[in-house]
Amino acid sequence: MNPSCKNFQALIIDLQQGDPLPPKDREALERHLATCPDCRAFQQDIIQMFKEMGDETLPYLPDEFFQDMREKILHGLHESAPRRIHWARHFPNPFQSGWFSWRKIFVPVLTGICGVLLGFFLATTRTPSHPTPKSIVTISKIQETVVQKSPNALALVETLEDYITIDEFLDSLDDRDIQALLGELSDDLPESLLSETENGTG
Amino acid sequence: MEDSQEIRLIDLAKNGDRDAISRLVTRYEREIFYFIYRMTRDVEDAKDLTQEVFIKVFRKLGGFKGNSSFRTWLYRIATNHTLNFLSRGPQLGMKAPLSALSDPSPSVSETMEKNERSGHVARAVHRLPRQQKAIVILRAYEGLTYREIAEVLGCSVGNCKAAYHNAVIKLREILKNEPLM
Repeated sequence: MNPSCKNFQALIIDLQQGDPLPPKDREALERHLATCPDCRAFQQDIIQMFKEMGDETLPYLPDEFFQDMREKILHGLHESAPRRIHWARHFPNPFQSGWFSWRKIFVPVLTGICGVLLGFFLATTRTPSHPTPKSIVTISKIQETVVQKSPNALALVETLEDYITIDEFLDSLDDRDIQALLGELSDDLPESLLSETENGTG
Repeated sequence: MEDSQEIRLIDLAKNGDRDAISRLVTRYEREIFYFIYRMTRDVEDAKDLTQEVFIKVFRKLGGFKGNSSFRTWLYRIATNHTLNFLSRGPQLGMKAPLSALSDPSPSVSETMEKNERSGHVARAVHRLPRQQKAIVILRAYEGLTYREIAEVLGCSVGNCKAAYHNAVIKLREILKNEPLM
């Protein structure tokens, strides 16, 4: 079998299937068959195969068989979605046709609502609107201690009121301010609070 | 291409008209049943699958835009549904032979020999891989054109042709190894 045999076998199949071949292909096939015993044998097998396919006798099934099947189909349709089909007949759903369709209206609206909710969620979780209880206690303690210890630090401490959290307050200080503040506080604040404050400054 | 009566029936069926649905089922039930029967070689499976296919078809009918013919669309759903069924597990195959439900008329015995020969080819078709089996049945038994098969299987006409040629060549190889060819 030479490589072109596969192409001719495709033509043989189409020919036996009843597809008309272009005259050029048909002549080429006839020339090839005259010289290729493999393709001649292939053609005989295909002719026999299609003949047997055509001779197939399907099982006889009485009309009652199909009637029963039809009734089950109608029953299945009625069971599965009776209301939708019934109401659609009398009251066509406006969402199913024209420009006012679910796909065109409902999907974009739902997407927009989801987007707004997601944005709201992200905005509220990123920056807490209120200081945590721990921060409030810490700030109050620092304020109290600083005022008692050093009246000069009062101006600095007053600015504490403007900050929401201890982290924001500490971020606003430079290194020199922090060292001075820690020096003032070291005797009065518990060690755990001091270490937390130092860590907070990074 | 549908005739105008069929288009009207489809429109009525879309609105849930029971009589239109019944008439469409009557028009195609045997064709689809025997197609599925050839795929499964089991009468009961074919009956169940045909019912499921038609229920699916009429549930999805609102989405039928008429880009292809209703018959092609029906075959598409039937083919996919049957291929899914066949892929779910090993099929015993040829569970109910053709003669099991045959009409016990005098002609049955005369056609037994012919049935046996054609049954031999049918068994060989049943041994093809599922996709190749579908394409052979659609083309050789159901007589769909390559263009229609391409719409049914969602492939190009060229790929469809090549797949059919390969399937027929493989079928011949199977039959060559069987004694009755």
